Amino acid sequence: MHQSEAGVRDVRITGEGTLGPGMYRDVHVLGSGAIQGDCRCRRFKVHGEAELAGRMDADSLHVFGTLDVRHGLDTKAMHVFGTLSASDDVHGGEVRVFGLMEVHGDLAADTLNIHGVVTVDGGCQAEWFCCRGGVQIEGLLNAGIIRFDLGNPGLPCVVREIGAERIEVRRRRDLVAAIHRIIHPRGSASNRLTASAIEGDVVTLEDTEADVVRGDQVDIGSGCRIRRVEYKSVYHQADDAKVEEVVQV
Amino acid sequence: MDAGQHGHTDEDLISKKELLEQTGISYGQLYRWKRKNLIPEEWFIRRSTFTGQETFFPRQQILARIEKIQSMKDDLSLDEMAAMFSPNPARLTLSPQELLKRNIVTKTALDCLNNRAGNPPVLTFEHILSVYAADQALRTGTVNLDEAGLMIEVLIEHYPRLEGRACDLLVVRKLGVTMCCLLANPAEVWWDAASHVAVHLHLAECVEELKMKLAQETEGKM
Repeated sequence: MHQSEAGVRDVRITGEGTLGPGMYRDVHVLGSGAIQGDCRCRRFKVHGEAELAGRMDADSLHVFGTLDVRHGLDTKAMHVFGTLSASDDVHGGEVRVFGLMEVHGDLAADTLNIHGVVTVDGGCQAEWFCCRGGVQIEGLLNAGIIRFDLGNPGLPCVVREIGAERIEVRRRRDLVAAIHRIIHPRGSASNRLTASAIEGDVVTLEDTEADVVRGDQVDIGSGCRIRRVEYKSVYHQADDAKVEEVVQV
Repeated sequence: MDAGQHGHTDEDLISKKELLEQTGISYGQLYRWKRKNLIPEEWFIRRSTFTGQETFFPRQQILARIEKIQSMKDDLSLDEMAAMFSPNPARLTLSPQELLKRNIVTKTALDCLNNRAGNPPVLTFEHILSVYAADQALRTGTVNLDEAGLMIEVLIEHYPRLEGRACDLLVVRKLGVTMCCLLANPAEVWWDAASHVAVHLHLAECVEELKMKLAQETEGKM
């Protein structure tokens, strides 16, 4: 343990250890660590596994192993390469998930980048949302700009409702997608986005299944199955898209 | 009696589609304002209709709110507006003299506070809110001075505990005895026939009105 100039300590847990609740500078868990209450710190890093009995307030959070937070989580920047589970709301500035993140509350971020898998029991909001992996959001996904790059058939994207200024859902056409098409020659070569309602000013969709799509400019692309589209000014539909009902409002 | 924020009849509600048509805003704007907490979560009411799941809003509240946002958006940032609409107390203090001079409350209501809280030289937002709410009730003639004092007492004591949650203030009379309570929303209450609800204030609206009044002359201090 190092005493920093401001009087707050750096803590490193190697092997097995417990830590009392409090304010720290940098916390690094290499083995197995249990924090027995709330933790406020500058940097929190987990390489092994850690469990936090209270809420976490960290400027930056890196999870390479497993972290279980029993209450809320508040960070300015968060990178999850391993597994993060939060039992309550999560607020993050810049959030990047390469592994698995489970949020049993609401998730709010400035920017949200998903390469792995994210599940949210409540709503999810961000100014910028980009998903190249899989998501399951039980509530509303509300963002300024939403982008889904669909490609991996093993990672479905299921969102109850989507609302945004711009929504763009594309099927990936890069090398990774080509490899998936070779691996899965018969089935769908891409994962799909499923939502009950999608609403936005500019909505561009591919490989999407939705009950209702509403927007000002709507483009229903290849592989979509939509029950009802309500658009205001511009509408375009690909030849192989299935739309039961289109209404200009 | 008004059942608070819930239990709307169909006429009180406006569908999202109708709202956008009537106000000329886009889906993007509506969702952005929701993200910035300019429109509270409780106002989004989901109902099943023959066209699928639809969202409805309390008609009067949402139309008034959108009108305010549209009229203020050139002068204030979204975050400043959010601070104004939020039920969280504003960080400001005023002297009692200033409060009277700016005509925010009447002397009668301020005297009620002074009687209960012993002449505080500096008023916090909670103090101001409690006097303001009591003043509203006094002006409509629905409560007497003692009851106004009771409202002030309840607000000063319990409002901070709500930590920004929306709530209603009720003053109820039965057989000449008056009670005052704070009700955290969403909640509905039903009284026996002999009880009479003298005052039912939506505090979120009160806070908003008050913040507007305070902001009018203290631009930038909110």
